[in-house]
Amino acid sequence: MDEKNIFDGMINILKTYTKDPSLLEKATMDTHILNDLKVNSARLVDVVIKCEDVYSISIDDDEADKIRTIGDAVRIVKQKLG
Amino acid sequence: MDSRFLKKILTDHEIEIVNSSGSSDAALWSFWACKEAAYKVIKKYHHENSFVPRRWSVDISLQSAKHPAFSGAENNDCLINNIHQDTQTQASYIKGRVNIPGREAVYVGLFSHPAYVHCVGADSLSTLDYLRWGIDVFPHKEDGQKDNSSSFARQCLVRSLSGFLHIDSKDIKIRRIKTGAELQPPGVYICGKRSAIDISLSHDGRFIAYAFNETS
Repeated sequence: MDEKNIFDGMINILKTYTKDPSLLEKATMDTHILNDLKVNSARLVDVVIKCEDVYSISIDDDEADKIRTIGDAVRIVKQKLG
Repeated sequence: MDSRFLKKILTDHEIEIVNSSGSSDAALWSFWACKEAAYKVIKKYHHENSFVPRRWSVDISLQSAKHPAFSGAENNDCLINNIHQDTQTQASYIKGRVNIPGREAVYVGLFSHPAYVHCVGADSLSTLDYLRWGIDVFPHKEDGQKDNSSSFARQCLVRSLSGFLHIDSKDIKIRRIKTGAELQPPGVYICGKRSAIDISLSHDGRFIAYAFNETS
C-alpha cells in the first residue's frame, strides 16, 4: 500500500476522533494530531487501536509514543505493512 | 470496558483495580487524569515529550477517596453551577504520586466528582497546596458553531487571575508559542510582558479546567 492510500485511510480514521472534522480538509503529513486536529490524548490511544484493526498490525508502546503528526502514523503503518 | 485500551494506558495492577472497582469508569479516568497531569509537568519542566502511560504507575488511594469536605481544595472553584448541587457532597480530593521510570515522581492532587475527575500535578508535594484551579462547563454549543472550549478555558483563567492579582482582565493575555511542530505550554502575559506565573489549561467534552501556581 502506498503512502497516499495510507494517508487517506488515516484521515478517515481521524474523522471519528477530531472535535472538528473540517480541520481534516487541509490536513497534510505535517499536521499535528493533538495540536492541530484537537484530538485529545486519550482519543489518540483509540486512534492507535483503530489503526491496528484497520491495517491488521500491532503498534507497540514505543512506536505509539513517537506519533505526533499524521505523517508519523502513516510511516509506522507503511513500515509495518512492508 | 475495552481491555486493549486499558492495556495500552494502565499497568497490570491498575487494570486489576479498575476491573474490581464498583465504578470502573471513574477508576480508569482517575488513573488517566493523574498520568496526563504528570505528563504536563515533565513536559513543562524537563521538556520531555515521551509519554508511555503503561510504564507510569499511579500511587493514589481511590478506595479512600470519599472525603465530603474535600480538604485541601477549599480555595478552588470546584463547585460548578451546572452540576446538581446534591452531588457536591460526594466529591473528594486526594493526593498521590505518579512514578515514572528514571525520573523523580510527580505529585498529583485528584479531585473526583460524580460528573468528572480533575487532576493537578507538581514536582513537589508541598507545591500542590499552592495550586489554584477551577472547573467550569462550556456553554451549550449550537449546531455548526465552532468548538471554542479552548478560548472559554482561557477566559475563565484570565477571570480568576484578574481576581487573584487585582489586575484588569483586559491586561492579561494567555498565549502559546510553537517551536517546530510542537505547541509550547501556555504562558501569561501581563500588559504585553511575559510573566513567570505557572499555568495550565485543559478541556474535554463540555468541561474546561485551569490551574495556576499562586507562588510563581
